[in-house]
Amino acid sequence: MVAALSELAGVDEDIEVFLDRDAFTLDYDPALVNLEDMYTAIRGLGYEPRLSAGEEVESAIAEAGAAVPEPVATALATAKTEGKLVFLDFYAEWCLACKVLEENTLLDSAVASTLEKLVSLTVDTDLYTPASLHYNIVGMPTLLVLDSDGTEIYRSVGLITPSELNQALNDLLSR
Amino acid sequence: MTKPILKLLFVLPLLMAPLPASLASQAAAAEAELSKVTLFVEGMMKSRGGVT
Repeated sequence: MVAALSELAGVDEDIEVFLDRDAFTLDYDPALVNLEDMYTAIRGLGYEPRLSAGEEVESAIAEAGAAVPEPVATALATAKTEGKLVFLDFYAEWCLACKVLEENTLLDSAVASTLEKLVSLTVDTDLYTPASLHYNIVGMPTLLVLDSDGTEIYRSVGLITPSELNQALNDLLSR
Repeated sequence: MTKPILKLLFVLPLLMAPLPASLASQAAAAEAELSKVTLFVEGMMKSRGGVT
């Protein structure tokens, strides 16, 4: 699968596999391939692009039904009270792409300034697997914006430039 | 006869000096065009005993 995805991504041997987490990080040329292409290729190989969870977590999620898991539920309550949008950054400590996004985009002064207008929350996918599954997190970093009712109004998976993210956030704030 | 050669030997390093910087910036530009993502694949390791 690594070889197939490497070829699809238009790169050579730039895939790092995390054996214990059913995950891998790859560099890819967005001009050659997009994420949907990769999901299709993964399914074509007989796998499902999805965060793995143990039976215990899966049954807890099934019991919870449509209820929003923590820590997002608390952030949504705050957002509702303050009339703000919620910004969620799904990441993991071991996620290389997440570190690149943080350094290049999230710490950008203009982006950081815009994010102060939202209720911002980082969600560690290792610690909050139910929340990650609830929002169907398949890749990292994933950025979501929810309105105060909890409806998803924006999603970005992978890297994004500061100007692109800032523009998207300001567009959502001006709605 | 030796003067032009000496001149060339003197000038050549100066001409070549910007080359590494230029190559480095080209490499950086090429790298900047790539994106990076971490993807989850359920049961990737468990179901088939490996991914390669």
